[in-house]
Amino acid sequence: MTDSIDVALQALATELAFPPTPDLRASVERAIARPARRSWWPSAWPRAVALAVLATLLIAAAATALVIAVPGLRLTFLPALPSPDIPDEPLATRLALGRPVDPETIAVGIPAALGTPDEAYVIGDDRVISLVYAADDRLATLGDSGIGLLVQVIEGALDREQVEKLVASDPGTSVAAVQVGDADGFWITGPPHLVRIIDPNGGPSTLPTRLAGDTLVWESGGVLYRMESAMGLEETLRIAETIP
Amino acid sequence: MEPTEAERGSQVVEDRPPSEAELVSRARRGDTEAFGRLVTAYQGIAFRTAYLVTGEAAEAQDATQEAFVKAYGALGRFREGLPFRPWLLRIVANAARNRRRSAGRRYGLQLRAEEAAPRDAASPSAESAALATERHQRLLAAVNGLSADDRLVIGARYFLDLPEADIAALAGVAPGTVKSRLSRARARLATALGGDASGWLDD
Repeated sequence: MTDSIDVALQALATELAFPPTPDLRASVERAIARPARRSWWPSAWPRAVALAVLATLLIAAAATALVIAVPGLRLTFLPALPSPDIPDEPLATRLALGRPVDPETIAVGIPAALGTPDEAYVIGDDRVISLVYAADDRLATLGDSGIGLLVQVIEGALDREQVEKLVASDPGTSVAAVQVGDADGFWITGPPHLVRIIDPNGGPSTLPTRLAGDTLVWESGGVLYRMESAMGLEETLRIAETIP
Repeated sequence: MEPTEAERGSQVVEDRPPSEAELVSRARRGDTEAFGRLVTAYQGIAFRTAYLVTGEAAEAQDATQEAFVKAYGALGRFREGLPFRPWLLRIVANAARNRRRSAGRRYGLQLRAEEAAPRDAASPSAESAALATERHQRLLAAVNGLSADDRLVIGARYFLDLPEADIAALAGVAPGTVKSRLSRARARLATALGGDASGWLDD
C-alpha cells in the first residue's frame, strides 16, 4: 500500500498550493547591515590559538602500545597530573568552551542519534565548535556537571597538533585504539585527564587546561572530533558513528 | 533558486556571475550584497521549506527572514567547500519549527483553489475529477496530521523534490538513513489512511 501512497503523493504534489515567495533580500540586507558582528572574544588572542583544542592523556604504560596516531592530537604521558588551571569555575568557563552561540546554526558534527544540541559554543574564529547535550535518561551525567555528552569539532590544519591530552601514569587509566566507522581513534578512560588547546605557533597555550572524563577522540575527513561522555565505549561509539 | 540557464546565458563571459562558493566567501568577510545575492538565489526553496513546517504564509515568511539573518551571523561556522543549501535549509527548518511550536493555532498545507473547488459532477469526466479531488483532500489531511518530523521529510521529498542530502540536513539525520525515514513516514501515512488507502489508484 505504501507503493500506491508513493504514487499518490507524487500526484498530490502538482495540486498543492504554495503561497508566492516574498522577496526578502532587501529586508535581510537591512537586518544584517549592522556594524561588526564580532564577539567579545579578545581580539588580542592569536587567531591560530583558536585552531587548537583538545587534550592530554596521562598514561605512560600504554604509550608504547599505541601504534596509531590521530592527526591534530598530541598525547602526553606524565607520572602525575598537574593541577588544572580552572578547577571550580562555572561550567562553561570550567570547560573552556568559548562563547555561546545559537545551537540551531550548528550544522557540523551533530550526531544524528541526538539531533540539535541543547547548547553550543565556539572558540575564536569558530574553528572549534562544542556541542553540549544535557544529561537525561539516555545520557548519563558527566561528573556533577549535568552534561550528558560533550562533542567538540576541530577543523583544519591537522597537519599540526591542535589539542593536547595529558594522561597520568595511573593503573586505572587506559588508552585504547578503536575504530570509529572507518577512522582510527582512541578511547581514553579512567581517572580524569587534562585537556588543552595547543598554540600552533609553539608558544605556551593561552587556553587553560581542564579535567576531562572518558573521551573518544578520532579524526575523519580533516576534522578532529572529541566526545566526552560517561556512557562507556559501546554507547559512545554508537552515537559517534551517527555523525554524518 | 539557482539562476536559470537563460539567465546564465544572458551573461557575457567576462561578466561571469560569482559562484556560490565565492558569494559565501565574500559574505563571510562581511559583504552584505554578496549575501543578498544568496538570499535571492535561495529564498524560494527556503520559503517553501518553512511553509511545509508552518503551513501558514506569514509565519513562513518570518521564519525564512529570521533564518537568513541567523545564517549570516553563523557563516563563520559554515564549512567552506560544502554546499550552502542543505546548511541553510536546516536553519530554516529549525526556525520554522520554533515558530510553529509557539503559534497557538495549527495550520496545514492546502490544495490549489481550482483543485479544491467543488465541481459539477454531471459528466463522467467531472465525476472522475471530483473523486480525484476528494482523494487528494483525504491524503493531504493525513499528511497534515503526521508528526512535524514525518511531514517535513514527506514534504521535502514529494512536494519540494529535494535530494537526500538536503532532506538529511533538514531532518538532522545521516544521509544514509533518509530512505528508511521516508519509508517509516509513508507507513504511518498508510496507517492513518486506514482501509481507505487501498483504493488510491483505482481510477
